[in-house]
Amino acid sequence: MSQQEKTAWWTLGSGIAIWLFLLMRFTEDGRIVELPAGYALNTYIQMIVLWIIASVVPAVIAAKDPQQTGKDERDRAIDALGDRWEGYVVVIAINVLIVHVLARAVFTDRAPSMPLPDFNSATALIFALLTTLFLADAVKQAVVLWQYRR
Amino acid sequence: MTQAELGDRVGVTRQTIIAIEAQKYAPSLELAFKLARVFGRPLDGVFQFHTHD
Repeated sequence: MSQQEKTAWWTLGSGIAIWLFLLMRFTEDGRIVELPAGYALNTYIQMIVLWIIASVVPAVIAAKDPQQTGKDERDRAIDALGDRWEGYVVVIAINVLIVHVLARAVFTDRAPSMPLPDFNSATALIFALLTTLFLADAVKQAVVLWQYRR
Repeated sequence: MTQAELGDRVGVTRQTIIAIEAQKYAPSLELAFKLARVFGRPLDGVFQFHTHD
């Protein structure tokens, strides 16, 4: 397994773990709860720290084997494909959020029956945006792994 | 010559050489010329382009 594959597995795993940490903090009994601003900020900072640690670990491991650190043209092509899919997920997810918020605003009388969270809540919006980022990165890593393994 | 040695000579990893051999990766023109040069053959002596027409 190449260093790039190992890094993709690590990034996918750590991304899922950090998202589960967010899920634990932002939800209760499967529902998004309104968090105090200070608690939400604290959680966000913790997430950033975890993300930085998760990003540094594979770089440190790779640095111990300098021959494995370089990317060749195939690695860069696979990265580019992963980035493209990541972009698709972000665009689709952001548009789904926009449509949902607008639909909720327009059809206010039917809003209670709408299944998705109310994004008038800052907590729900933050959680949805962070989930979008983690989902997009997970899709990127999955595409990268699929390209290396096909 | 091993796949790793060939990779070293043209500046790619062994995995990329394996992927090219298995026709799972189409190399850039630059890499294709480098590979042909290593083998001392013209480009079309190393790579063939097949159309599906």
